[in-house]
Amino acid sequence: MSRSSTNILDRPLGRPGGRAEGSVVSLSAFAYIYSELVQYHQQRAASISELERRLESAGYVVGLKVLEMIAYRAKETKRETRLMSILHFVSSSVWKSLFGKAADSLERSIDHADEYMIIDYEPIASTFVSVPPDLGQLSADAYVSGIVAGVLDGAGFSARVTAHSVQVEEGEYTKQGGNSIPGIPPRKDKAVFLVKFSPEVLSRDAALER
Amino acid sequence: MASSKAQAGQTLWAKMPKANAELFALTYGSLVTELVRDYEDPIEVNAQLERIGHSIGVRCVDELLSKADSSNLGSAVTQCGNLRDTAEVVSKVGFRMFLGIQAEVGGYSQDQRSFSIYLQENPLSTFVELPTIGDEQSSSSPSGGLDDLRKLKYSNLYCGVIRGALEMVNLKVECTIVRDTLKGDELNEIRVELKEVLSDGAGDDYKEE
Amino acid sequence: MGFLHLFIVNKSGGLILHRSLGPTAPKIGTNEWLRIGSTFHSLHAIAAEASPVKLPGNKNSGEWAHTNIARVTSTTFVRTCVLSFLSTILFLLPPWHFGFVSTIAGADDGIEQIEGGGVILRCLQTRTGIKFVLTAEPGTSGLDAVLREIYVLYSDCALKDPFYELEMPIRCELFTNAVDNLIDQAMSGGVMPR
Repeated sequence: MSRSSTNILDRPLGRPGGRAEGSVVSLSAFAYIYSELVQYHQQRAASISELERRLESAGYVVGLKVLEMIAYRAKETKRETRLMSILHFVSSSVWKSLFGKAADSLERSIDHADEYMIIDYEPIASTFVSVPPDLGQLSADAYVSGIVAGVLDGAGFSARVTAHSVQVEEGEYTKQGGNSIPGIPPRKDKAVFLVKFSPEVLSRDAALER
Repeated sequence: MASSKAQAGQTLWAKMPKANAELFALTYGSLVTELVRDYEDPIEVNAQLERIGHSIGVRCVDELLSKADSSNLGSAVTQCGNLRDTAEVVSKVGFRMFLGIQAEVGGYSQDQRSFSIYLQENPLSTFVELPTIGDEQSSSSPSGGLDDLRKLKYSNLYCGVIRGALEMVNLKVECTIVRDTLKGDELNEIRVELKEVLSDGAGDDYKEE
Repeated sequence: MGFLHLFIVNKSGGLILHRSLGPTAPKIGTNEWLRIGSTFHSLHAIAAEASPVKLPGNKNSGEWAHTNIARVTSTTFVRTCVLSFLSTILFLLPPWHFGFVSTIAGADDGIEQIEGGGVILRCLQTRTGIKFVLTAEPGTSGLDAVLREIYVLYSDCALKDPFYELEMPIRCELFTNAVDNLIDQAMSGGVMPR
């Protein structure tokens, strides 16, 4: 008995057997796959920045697909055309869909008009990663920054997105209800996803302002 | 008792922090795509997926054992006296706690040295469809791809995971995917064959002849 | 009541971690640590072979048992080995007198606990061949629970780290932070069951 009579495009996005949108696997399963992805790219990267770029590219394609899925499910008939709307879409809908909760904050850079920051105090990709000192500033969340770039680009807002690991100040963040990973102390660093929009996006947005 | 393993699997699954299944599937897809790009030959890609699975297997077994132990799920999970027990733990506890799916086990051979694990759903291949034969619209890759891609064992990762995990507890096995929903079969079947029971390293030096 | 050291030995007897867990822990040099690790590994194996009793449920019983294991009827052989082991760390510890060695363990045979006048040593051997060893001051309770938690932390913080290579020394900051956190918890309130 084969299912070839049902084209994949006709099948509901939820799979037979009852696993629809919102279905989960263990965080460990994701962590193991992600760890292998990082190791695979690390073996082929000649430098820290090349590793980051490879992880970002890996995430980019995922981002394009994620945009389609989320937009379809939200039954959005209207495309986002404004910069702030797309940023809100990313920091709340996309984050909730992928990570189970909205991003912790969305900020605009004081120094640069084309830069915004999405902040996550418990970025999922780097949950179990300990970056060795010789890899310096590498952010293990580079993959997620790629996903963000893919979503934004797919929506027509091309941007360069990079992930940065920033130390958390004392008292800056208290998670409600304790830590989600038993046994592991609260993180000392947060992920800051720096979004730098390309000039044409900014000028287009400014034009729409009028 | 088979049911206690299923219960153990359920208990452990409930305690595991969760991640979005689509993110998981897409991340795996990204890895497979990269492998296809780098290795081209699907047979080689299958081997790489198995190798990567092995790397995961040798690690996740400690997580299963440590969390079962820590949750006082006791000897049903952590001590397997024979292959059947092992098979049950892999399917009822392993697949359940890591992927949240109900895997069945069966198809034991006469000599009790091989068995099958059956998966109705496959979290790795959520968004995947392999091109079917006679599908003229599929783009063919430079290596004459269409036929080739059918040789890809998309979920070969599982074979490596099982092999790696069992190797860590001194069981040398070989695993193959014998049925694949991506190829039109009604379920996924992984055949596991015991090759050898390995003996521990350290004790050997001190054994009297 | 206090934890002294944690050390972890891999399958091949190599030391992959040693960590001081409290201010009272004596200072032990790197070379000494390596010797302690490999000596303990050997002693553990000797104890497993020399034990007069093999427990049911041991991985060497049941269908899997197929090798001839010599039985030694007395435990004095084991005691002698352990004495020599303790002597390598003896001079670094407070004066002690030999207590007893428990070689009857849970799942696997080998050394489970050693008690001397000045120290308790407890070992958790995993089915995958790793040994987690804790030393503590006499009167410290909850070593077993702490060891089991450390095994879990190892599986979370080291094994999922893409930069950690199996069998190599553990340099994962997340793991060491989590261990320190666990010890603090154990000292103040006891380890929470999962």
